[in-house]
Amino acid sequence: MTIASEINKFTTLTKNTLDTFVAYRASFLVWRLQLFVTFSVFYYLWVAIASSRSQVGSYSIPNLISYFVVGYLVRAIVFSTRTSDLGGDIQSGSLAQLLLKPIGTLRYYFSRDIIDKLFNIFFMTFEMLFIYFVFQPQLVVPSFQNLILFLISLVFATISFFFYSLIISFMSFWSESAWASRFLFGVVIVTLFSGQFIPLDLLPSWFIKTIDFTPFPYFYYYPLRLFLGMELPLHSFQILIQSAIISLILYLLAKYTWRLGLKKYQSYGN
Amino acid sequence: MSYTVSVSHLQKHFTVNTKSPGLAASLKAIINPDKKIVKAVDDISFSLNQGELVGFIGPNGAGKTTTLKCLSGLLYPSSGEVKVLGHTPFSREYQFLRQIGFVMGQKNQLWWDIPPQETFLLHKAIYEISDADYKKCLDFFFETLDISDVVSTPTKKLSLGQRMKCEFVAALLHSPKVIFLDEPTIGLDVVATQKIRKFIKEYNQQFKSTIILTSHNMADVEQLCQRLIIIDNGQIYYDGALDNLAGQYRQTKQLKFTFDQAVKISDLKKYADVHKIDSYKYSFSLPKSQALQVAAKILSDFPVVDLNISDTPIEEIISQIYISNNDHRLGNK
Repeated sequence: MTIASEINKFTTLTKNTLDTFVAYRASFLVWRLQLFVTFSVFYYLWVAIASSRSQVGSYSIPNLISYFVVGYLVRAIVFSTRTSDLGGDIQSGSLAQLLLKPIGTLRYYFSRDIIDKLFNIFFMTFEMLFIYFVFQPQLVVPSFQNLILFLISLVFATISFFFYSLIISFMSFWSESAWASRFLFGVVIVTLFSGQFIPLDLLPSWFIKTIDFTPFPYFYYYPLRLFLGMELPLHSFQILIQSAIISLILYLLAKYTWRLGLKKYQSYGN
Repeated sequence: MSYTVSVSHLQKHFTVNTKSPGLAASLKAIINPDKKIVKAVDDISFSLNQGELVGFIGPNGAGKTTTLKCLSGLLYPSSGEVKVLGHTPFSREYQFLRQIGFVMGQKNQLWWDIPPQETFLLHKAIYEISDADYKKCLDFFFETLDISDVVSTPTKKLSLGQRMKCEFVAALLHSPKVIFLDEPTIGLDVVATQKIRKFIKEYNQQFKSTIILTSHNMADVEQLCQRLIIIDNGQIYYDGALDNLAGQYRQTKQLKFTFDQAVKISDLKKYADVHKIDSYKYSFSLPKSQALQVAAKILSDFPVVDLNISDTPIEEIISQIYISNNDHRLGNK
């Protein structure tokens, strides 16, 4: 296995995924539209809340607007994933075709995730330009240091969420109704506890202290706080360390669950 | 002597939730489901040499596919030992996966929305096949399977036969040493079935791969395999040459007469047990030693326009074995 052969696998997989995307372009565009409409609703909601005051909690109005506009970018990068397909593949037995090939299954899904994120980022670039010129939001321009901290935290968030989402899909090895787990743990809890609806520090302080021990704030809330420069330097460093530890724990947990799950796998159907 | 495939006391048991009919049973199943152990494969042993083409047959639920899945590393055995090309399949080592191929008649590995040739290219990358080998293999497949004009059409628009041929290419592009074929002719028409059979035979002869074939179509097994393994209820009931099985069970001959006028069944009963197909056609099942004698008598006594003498079909032999296994099992309960 050389680097050239790995690149060849990735580019061929990208090409096939792109061809599949072309076949289903309408559904992808509807998906992007749904994200855009959801964003617009939240954007106007928070603009309305902020219009009668100069500060919301610790957020200035440009900070608050940036939290949601940049958050739109973070969502496209961190939360766009194909790992949700894996649960169905386990249930239907389709995973078998992948297991028979000399390619790491987790690496295969990670490659597909990267491809999916690239597609989302491509389309989101146009949407961001549209938002910038039509909504004309007041945005915070981060310092170089904050931008670097943000990008590093974004890498950890992406890795963590990939393994988190995988673990949820692995539940299909044990449960025949794993879609319910995915909806609860992969959508509802992640959306609420990662700060996508409301910045977490606007909630009671015990809440943020409690969920600080979970991966959720590191998916979305902390990267944005780092972008906005709202964390002290020492705490910024702590956040990155904790993000790295969470990524590692989720990785080990995913590997362990995968091994256990494979022993349980029944490969339904002929 | 080292075998290409060796299976020793393999067992694979599944725990299955069961439920009685009715609302109360449904509620109970949510809280405390009843479970039962299904012995899909129950202590089987066999081994295969390089280049063997073996028919692995049995009724639905006999344990054929489960065995193939254990051999290919998809399933973790409950107990026993399996070695394929010296590897333990479930470890799923790179070198092992690089040398096996699996065609499932009821599952696609081709990407559904794009042409098969794109899947072939992905497999070329995954299996790290050189350009020269890829071209050589494709030339062989295109010639033997006659698919050069369909590989650029999206998979979803291909007929079942065309798709199955392309499935073979996707599974065998990397020239595997051991091939598992799980009902590869299921649902295919006569022409496509013949084409696939011819291809399997040629591939086996040219590449000397070890092939295990499961099929409900006995003609597949008869035309392709010299050795047969019969499995039922997770246990092996026969492992040997197909000819031996036929010799062992083929103690009778089938005689089919066509007369040029209607004949009464009562007139034929005096010769042997007779089965009426219609008023002009009758069939007899007779011990081999009496077949010619009875045929000669009927030919002289009746206006025969056609006579066909044949061995008991292999389907019937296999079916007798399944039935006798089933009776034996029920008798033991």
